[in-house]
This record gives sequence, structure tokens and C-alpha cells, in this order.
Amino acid sequence: MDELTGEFVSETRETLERVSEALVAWEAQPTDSARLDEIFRFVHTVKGSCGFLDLPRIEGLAHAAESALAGVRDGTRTADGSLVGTMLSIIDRIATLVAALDADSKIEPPEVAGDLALIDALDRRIAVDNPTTPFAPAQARTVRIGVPLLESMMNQVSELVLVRNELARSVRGHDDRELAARFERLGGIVAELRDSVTRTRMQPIDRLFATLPRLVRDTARECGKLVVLDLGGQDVEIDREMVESIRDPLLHIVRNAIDHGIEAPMDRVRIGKPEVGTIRIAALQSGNQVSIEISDDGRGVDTSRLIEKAVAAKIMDPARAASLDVAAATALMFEPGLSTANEVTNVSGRGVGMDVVRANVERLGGNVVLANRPGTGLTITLKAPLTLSIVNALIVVAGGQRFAIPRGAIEEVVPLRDGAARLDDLGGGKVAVVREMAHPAFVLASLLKMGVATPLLVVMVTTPSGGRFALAVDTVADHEELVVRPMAPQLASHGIFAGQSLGDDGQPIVVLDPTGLAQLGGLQRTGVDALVARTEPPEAPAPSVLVATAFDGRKIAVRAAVIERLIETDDRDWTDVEGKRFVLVDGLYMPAPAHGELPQQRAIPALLLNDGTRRVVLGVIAVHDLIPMPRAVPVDTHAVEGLLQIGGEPILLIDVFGLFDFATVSVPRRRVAVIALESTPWARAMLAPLVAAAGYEVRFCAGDDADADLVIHLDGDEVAGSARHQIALSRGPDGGVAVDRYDRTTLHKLVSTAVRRPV
Amino acid sequence: MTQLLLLARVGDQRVAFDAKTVDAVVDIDTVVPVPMAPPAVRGLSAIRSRVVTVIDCARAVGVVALRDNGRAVTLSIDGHCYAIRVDAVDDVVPHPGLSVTGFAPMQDGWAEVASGTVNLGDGFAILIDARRLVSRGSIT
Repeated sequence: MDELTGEFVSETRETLERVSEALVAWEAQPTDSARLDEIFRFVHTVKGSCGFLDLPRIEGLAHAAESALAGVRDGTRTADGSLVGTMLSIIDRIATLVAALDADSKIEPPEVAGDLALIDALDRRIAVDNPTTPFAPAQARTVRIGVPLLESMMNQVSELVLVRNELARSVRGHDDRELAARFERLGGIVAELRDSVTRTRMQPIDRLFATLPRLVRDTARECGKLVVLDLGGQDVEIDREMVESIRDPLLHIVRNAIDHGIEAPMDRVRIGKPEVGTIRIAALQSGNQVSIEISDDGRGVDTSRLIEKAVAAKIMDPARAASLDVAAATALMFEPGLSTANEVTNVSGRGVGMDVVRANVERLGGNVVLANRPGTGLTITLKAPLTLSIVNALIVVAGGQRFAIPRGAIEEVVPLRDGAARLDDLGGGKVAVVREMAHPAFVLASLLKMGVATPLLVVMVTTPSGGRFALAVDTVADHEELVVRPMAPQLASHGIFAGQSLGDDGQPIVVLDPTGLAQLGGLQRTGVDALVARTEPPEAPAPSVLVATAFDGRKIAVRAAVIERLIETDDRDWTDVEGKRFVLVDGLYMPAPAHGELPQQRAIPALLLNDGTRRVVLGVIAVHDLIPMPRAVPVDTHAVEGLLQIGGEPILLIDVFGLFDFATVSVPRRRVAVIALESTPWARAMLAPLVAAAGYEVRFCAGDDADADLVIHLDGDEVAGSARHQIALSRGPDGGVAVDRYDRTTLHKLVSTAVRRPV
Repeated sequence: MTQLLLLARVGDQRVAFDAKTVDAVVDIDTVVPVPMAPPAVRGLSAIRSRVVTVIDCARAVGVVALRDNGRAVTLSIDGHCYAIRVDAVDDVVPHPGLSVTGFAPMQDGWAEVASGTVNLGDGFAILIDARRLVSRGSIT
């Protein structure tokens, strides 16, 4: 039994109990129209649900009952004893059939003939001979709870979490192990409880999809189209509130797809498409987001018509319109008042357009993405957060006050010093230059009218619609998981706050809304202008270099093109293994070619270099400047590409490709090396890093090595599988043909050649 | 059951809240200001792990507060919790039931937030309509 049928069974059972009472009362007093209405509503609802769930037997019974009752309501039929009797029998029979739907009840559905006899009796207005025995409703397995109760549970759990956080601070102050252990257990239970309660708020997206088959059928009929609906991902669960909020945008898009997207059957046949159009709707959960993809195989969006309309409506001038590419032109759909519908139909084209859809979705913190395939269809993807109430946030400090920014909106945090990024004034506004890219910028404290601040960092923020700007803040304080509550209307009216929460420090914190901030700052939304700017072919940027001081004190320059980002590392994250240096970045050890001793400083700036497939970290003492690259005097060594003269100083231009030779290959399938030795400290601390540095994923096992590229084993051991390379280590010091395990040079050479040899 | 009134002071004015709408009388510790908030909204504060919006009663009606302490009356309106800052909370008394007839129009913002007046015998208090008071917080 699927979810929907289950829902139907439990709902119908509940109403059945009430309706039985109503029936009895109605029998005593057939003129009681309130009772009649109640019974009528019941059979009407049952009939509707059954049509939808494809339960023809119950639908037939309900339909007959509905017609008879309708007759009573408009006076063409009298509520006599025979009618009431038959009606009772029909209701009982519906109850039996509903109970039979529930597989666990082990009730066999009665013969169909009985149904027909009852319907016949109703139609011929005769009494049924043998009234059925009333059906006793079975115990329901689910309990229906009012949403307010769920809401209050959610609130209480949120508070519980906050109290736990407060308590955690006090517990930390005590050096009591037993207390700490008990508290930890409590904390775990609270977290589980929160998960459970959060789940009660979630419901399968199927609930949202439930109305679609009917909608598609009706709309298609109305428009004279043939459409099949293909649903996927119904088991994705989303927040109840989200179901409600996303319903209208979804219905609107589906209606549009049928009305504008799918061609008439004749036209489809003429252009070689199947007569029946397809609309595919699939939900996909990824992390904290749900994507709902609505694609049709219709004609797509006629961008030339959109552009025509946009020009006619004076939204853009013809010259600019001509420069739009397909994506930019398709995005014109989001402009208010533009519709490609030739005429206003009953279904769509009534001026409520994609602009409203997008606004609604963005209000939820989501976005809408279009993929237009002119002639072959359109795909619209709605993205929305799974739940509205819990947000991962970065806590920033601006003007001395803490603010939370939803983590999902943050691209990166860049320090405003050492040349990583700078803040320039531009006509009273600000521009942040990050790696040669200029972004609109706001000093958060000034934007919020909190006075003057001296920002040290910029936070690159993206809005759901793809807008991008830099927020300059004093500092970044923390990363917290916040239970976000709506703000009081007096404070929420600016639209710059996503809500309020209680931070881990026990103090209230304001959660900022990136979209609102962009609007407050007067930033144009990603409208036509921004799209045009994006679609112009980018000029090839002049090469530039980043100047820094290397560990050995020399000034070096690194081509900016290979710098993925600047990072700040802690000196404790650096580790030397057998002359090779590694550093912990984003939880991963990355190779960091050694250039002299680690500086005696706690925070070590570093450049994360990326050549498209490989990454390597170059640690430096300080980063100075990003400058256009002057002419270089070639120097042909492995490590240095050339010599630059900047400000009268000779600066070494690092040969980055020499650096990447140190990089571990980061292609998805990494070569696997199996060390089929006992897991001794030597094997772990010496051999494994050496093999890892050669680009292998190291495994310690002696069993199934079938997929290994390299096996290192003791001379004489059987090697399973078909490893392409094998290195045999000698057992004793007197070696023989195998490699002495302490002969590092040979080992290194063997491992490296193994990796380089074509596979 | 007789109506209970919570008597408080704002500036030199005695005010009364319907006690059954009041959740608690609290002392607010730290108030986190909210940028660009209307003047009557002091900011947010945490009371028993709950974030409340702090409304300054004196500022809301445009009078001068006598002191700057954290005494406040908490209540919820439309699902939002508010703390209404007052200068002092005096007492909870049964509604005296004495009728008040005829008084000169109230000055400042009092007229906007008053739902009536109470004759306490030894003086008068303004019965505050909390909903109206709180909504004055949206006036910038």
C-alpha cells in the first residue's frame, strides 16, 4: 500500500465513524439537512479521492450515493426509509472495501456483484433485502496530529537545544569527568530528539506531486494537447511549510509547460516528434537542498520572440538584444510582463509570469534555473532549502556586533591584506578586487548604518539568483548551526534579515539575508544588464603574478592563473615526512614543496595552486602584491622559470609546473597501492607517505588486491591479483635481488617509475 | 473572576497591563541592538533561551524614561515574544472597577496606546493596549 492510499485509508476511517453517527441521526430525522450535507460531503470526498487513486469499486459506490443524495438535496427525491437503508449499506460496504485496502487487516474484499446490487437498488429506488452488518472499523496504525502541536514540539526542542548549548558552556568550566560524560549523553539524546522532531515536519514530496496527474490531464485536455507525466524522486522529503510554499510555483510551471511548451499533436507528428508530449518532474535531494526539475519535450522557448517582445516593451534596446545568447535571452522570461503566449488563454499568459514564480522561490531562499533547448524543450529547475528552520551559518563581526550569514550563500572569505584582496572606492561606493576580479562591495557596518568600521576581511556572498558581491566585515568569529526564527514584524520590514536566533554564546544574533542586503545596497538583481555583461566575450586577461616572500627569504613571483586561492594555515598543520612537506588544507593533507625552513610564525599564509587536475600548496612568509607580469628573463632551471625585475628588485618567477610535479594526482580514480606488509611503524610512517607522495592511494592489506596498481610485498610472498607493478622487499639485510627496505633512493625511484609508466 | 492588573511606571506615568496577557516580569540583561531598527525597538535579548524583541515603552509613546534599567514585562503577540521595557513594576492588583469619566485628551503617544484608564483610588493609570504599543515599534 503506497503512502497516498494509506493516507486515504486512515482519513476515510476517521470520517466513517462520524458519518455513521450522522447516518443514524439522519435516519431518525430525514429532513435534517445538516446531516444530509455531512454525508454528502463524505461520499463526495471519497469519490474524488478514489478517482485519483484509481479505486473504481469504491468510486462507483460513492458516485451512486452522491447522485442519490444530490437528488434529495434538490428535492427530486425524498429521503425515505429505503434510501436511508441502502445508503447505510453502501457506507458499510465502502468501509469494508477501505479496510480491505489495508493489507495488514487480512480482510478479503467482498464480491463485486454486491456493489452492483446496491447501486442498482439505489437507482431503482428499492430497498435492499439483506442489509449488511455494520463494519467495525479496525484499529488505525497511524495517529493524526495537528500541525500546531507539531510546531510547539519543534519550538520546545529548539529551546532544549539552546539550553543544552548553554549548559555545555557551564559544564566546560568544571573539571568533572562524570558530569561531562553524562552531559555528553544528554547532548546526544537531544540531538537525536531534534532529528526525530524535524522528521515529523518532513513529508515526502509525493504530497506535492499528488495533484499533478490530475492537473496535467485537465490542462492537457483544455489545451488540446496529449501529455504524459513522468514523476521521479517522490520519496524525497521536504519541510511541510516548503511543500505549501512551493506548490504554486510548481503548478504554474507545469501549466506553462503544457500550454506553451508542448506542441499540438498534429504539429508534433509533422516535425517528427511522438504525438504524445512528455513532462518529466523529478525531485532530487542534495545536501540541504532539494531540486525539482520540470522538463518537457516541447518547442522550448522561442528566444527571438522573447527578444522581439522585450524590444517592443522597451525593456532593452535592439543593439543589446542582438548580443544576447540563448541563456541570456531565455532569462528574459523572468522580466515582468513578458509572455510568449500569443493570446491570453484560460491556462496561462495572464500576466502572472515567471517573475512571480522566481520571486516566490527566492523568498524561500531558493532559485530558479532555466535550460532552454529551442525546438526540443525546456527544463526549469526549482531549488529550495529542505527546511527553513535550521541554518548553518558563518558568524561575522561588523561594527563590533555579531551577525550570522547562511553558509550556503558564502563562497569564500578573503583577507583584506597582503594583496589577497583590496577594497577600492568608486563613486562613493566600494569595489572589492579579488584575484583581479572586481566585485561590487559593501562594508557591512556602513550598509547597516552602524558607523565606521575597519574591515579586515571580505566575505564573497552569492544570492540565490546568482548575484555576487563582497561584504567587508571586521572579522569572522565562528561557524554555528542556528535554529532560525522569524523576526518580529517591526524588525523584519527591511527584508535584510532572514531571522533571529540564539547563538552558542547565549546571546541573540541576527541572521542576514544576502538577497535583502544586495537590495539594500542598491545592487541590481541579476537582470538583463548583468546577463549582458556576462555574455560578452571576456578579454584575455593580461598575465599577472603574485609577489610573495618565500620561506627562504627570497622574493618570489607566482603566475596568478594557477592560484586557486590564498589560504591561511596554522604552523601546526605542517608536517615533514622524509623530506617531503605536507600541509592540512580543508581536512586533507596536500603536498607542499619545501623551500627552506618553516617560518617561526603561528599563521603561515599559503597559495593553493591548481593546474586543473592537480593541487599543490606553496607556503610563504608573506604575500605582497598582485601585479601585471613584467617581462621575464628566462632562467632555465627546474624550479625557476625566469627572473623578473620589480621595483628594482630581482624576483624569481617560480616554475609552477615544477611545483606540480610534487602534487598528488587528484583525478577521481586514484591509483591504488597495496602494502602487503605487516603494519609496522616503518610501513606506516615511512613507506606509506613515500608511496602516497607518488600519487597512490595507500592500502594496508594482504587479501584481495585485485584492483591494485602497485603491490609492495616481501620477497617470496605470493601476490594475489594482477597488479601491474610489484616491488619486492628483501626479508633480511643481505637482500639478494629484492630491494632493501632501507634503500630509500631505490624505493623512491621504483615507486615513481611505477606511477609514470603508462597503464 | 475579577480582572487583574499589573501596575507599572513609565516616566512619571502609572500604567496598567491586563495581567492575563503578561507572561512574566523580567530583568533584561544584555540587549543586542538590531541595525536600522525603529527607535522604539531596543533590540533583541535572550530570556530563558528565548529571543525576545525589546520594545521601549517610553520611546514608543515619546516620553522620557526615568531610569535606564532592564525591568520589563514580557508578552507574546502573534507568535512573537516581546519584552516591554518599563521604569518600574509596582504591583498586581484586582481591577478596582471604579469608572473613569471625563478626562482631558492624553498627550504624547499615550492616546495611541491606551485602551482605557483605571481609577486606582489614589490616582489614575493608563490601561495599555499591548498590541498597539508593540505596533508603535514599527514607526521610524
